[in-house]
Amino acid sequence: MLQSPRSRQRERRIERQPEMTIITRTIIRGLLPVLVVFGVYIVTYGHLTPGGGFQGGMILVGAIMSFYLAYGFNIIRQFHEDDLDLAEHIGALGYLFTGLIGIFAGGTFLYNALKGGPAGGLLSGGIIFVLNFVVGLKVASGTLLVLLILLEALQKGE
Amino acid sequence: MFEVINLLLLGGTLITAILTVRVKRVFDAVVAFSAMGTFLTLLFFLLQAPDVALSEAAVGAVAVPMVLLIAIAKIRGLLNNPMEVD
Repeated sequence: MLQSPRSRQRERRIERQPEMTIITRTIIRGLLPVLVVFGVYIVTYGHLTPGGGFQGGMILVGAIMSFYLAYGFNIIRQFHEDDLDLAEHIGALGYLFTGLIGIFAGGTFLYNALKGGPAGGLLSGGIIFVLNFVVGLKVASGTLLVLLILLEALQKGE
Repeated sequence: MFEVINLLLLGGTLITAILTVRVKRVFDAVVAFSAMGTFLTLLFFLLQAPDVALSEAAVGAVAVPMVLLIAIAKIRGLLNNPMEVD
C-alpha cells in the first residue's frame, strides 16, 4: 500500500470519530423523510406497482442505516432488541393468522376472504394488502435486529 | 439500441464480479461487490423485472455491504492494527 503516514493517521482519526461531517449529516437529515415515505409507499402499493413487503422493509432498514452512518451508534441504540424481537414475532404471527382467516372463511389457507374495492384501486388487493404490511414489519425488524446485534458486538469489542 | 445497453451492463457486471474476487484489499472487494449489485439492478430493470430490481437494489446496497463492513471493522479492531488488514 502506497500511503503516506499522514494520510494513514488521518484515516484512523476519521474511523474513530462518532459522527460524520456536517455535510453528510445535513444531507441525510433532509433525505430521511423521503426514504421513509418511499419505503412505506413500496409496502402500501405492493400489489399494484413493483415492490411489496420485502422490498419496502429493506428500504426502511436502509433509511435507518443511513441515519446510523451519519450520526453514529448512539442514535441507533434507541432501538431495543426486545422491541424488535416482539415486532418480528408480531409479523410472523400476523401472516399466520391472516392465512387462518382464509381457512375459516373459505376453506383454504390464505384464501382471499377480504373482498376489496374496485380493480386497480388501493383496496383491491384483499388480504395481499394486509400480508404486505405484515411481511414489511417482519423484514424490517428482523434485518434491523441482525444489524443491531452486529453493531453492538462491534462496539463492545473496541 | 437496447441490446447495446444490455451488453454494456452485462460487461459491467462481469468486470465488477471479477474485480470482487481479484482485488487485494477486503474493503475494495466490498465496494466492487456493491457496484456489481448496482449494475445488476439496472440490468434487471432493463430486462423488465422491476420487482427483482428493487429486491436486488435493497439487498445489494444495504444489507450485504453493511454486514461485510461491520465484519471488516470488527476484524480490524480484533487485530488492534487498523490499517494493516489486506
